[in-house]
Amino acid sequence: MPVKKITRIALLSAILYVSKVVLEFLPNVELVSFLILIYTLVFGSETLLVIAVFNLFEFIQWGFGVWWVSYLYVWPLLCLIVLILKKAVKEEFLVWGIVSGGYGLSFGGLFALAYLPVDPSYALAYWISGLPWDVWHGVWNFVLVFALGKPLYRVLKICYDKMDYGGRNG
Amino acid sequence: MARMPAIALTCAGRDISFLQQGVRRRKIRGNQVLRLAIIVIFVSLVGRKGEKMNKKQKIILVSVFAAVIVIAGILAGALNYRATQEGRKEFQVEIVSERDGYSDSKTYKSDADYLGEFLRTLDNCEWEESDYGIYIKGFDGMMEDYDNQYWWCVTVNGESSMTGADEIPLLDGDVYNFTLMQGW
Repeated sequence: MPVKKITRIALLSAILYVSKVVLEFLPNVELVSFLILIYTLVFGSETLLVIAVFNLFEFIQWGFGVWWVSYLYVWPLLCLIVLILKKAVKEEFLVWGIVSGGYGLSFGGLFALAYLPVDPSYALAYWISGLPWDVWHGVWNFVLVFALGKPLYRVLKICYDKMDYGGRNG
Repeated sequence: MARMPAIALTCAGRDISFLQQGVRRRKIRGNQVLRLAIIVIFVSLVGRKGEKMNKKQKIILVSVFAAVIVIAGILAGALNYRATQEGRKEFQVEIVSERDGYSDSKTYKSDADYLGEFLRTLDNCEWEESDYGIYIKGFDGMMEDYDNQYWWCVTVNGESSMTGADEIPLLDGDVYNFTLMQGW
């Protein structure tokens, strides 16, 4: 893997991780969904590696738990959804806001899937009791992407294109 | 209406013909509303064939999303609503700590609406206020131990509580169990 790419992944995952730590005190207020969406639009499937490093940081900080198993599929799933819709949606950040909002709304349900093998009734109770927070999560995600998505996307795109020496970005 | 991919038309069936024929007075069932919402979103995302969205499409999309949020919010409120009971309630409180070799069960009476309210009046309960309501630190000197992952788990009638004590209604005849657990 080229050094430029390694450095890029390291920086992006550090930003992703710090953004989560800084807002940990606020329930379901997070920049992780927003950043993963923007990263995927700019850097494509490379974002999956950023997510892998992010999950590793989470494991180091909090140790193993069923919640970490949820993290292993929840964040890559968002990246995959963005990759699939990328060509159709392009730079319509209203639509991306709705995609992100919808993802925030379904976050609790997706998270609870990991608890199904542990205790299905617990998984259901977990999802239902977290629904009010999921609604808030969906609204927050929509507002964030709609308001800040385009400017951040453009800045990252300019930086990425400027780093493209001889057409290769690593 | 804008051109739609064939798959959307095939899936929509009666729903698309309903739209094309304009507004009619008919009963729309919940699942039809959901299918319509999915089709509108799907068409908006895929059926545009590279064109920019016009204002009308944006308004429809935001309206559908807002409607979904409102419905989800109502559903969340309804599913999580827990009715309280008026008057004096008689209930059991069990305290179990394997670490300390302790197990006790007592019957109490209280007019409090919620378990958290009651715990604040309980002499042997040590607690503190947090951003999410009452935070139980221990009973009878048996304290939580964050560093060794010991924490107090609340169950109601044998079922895990998904909310804090401040949101658990006190009901006549219920059993509230506090067990010192280890491990996240």
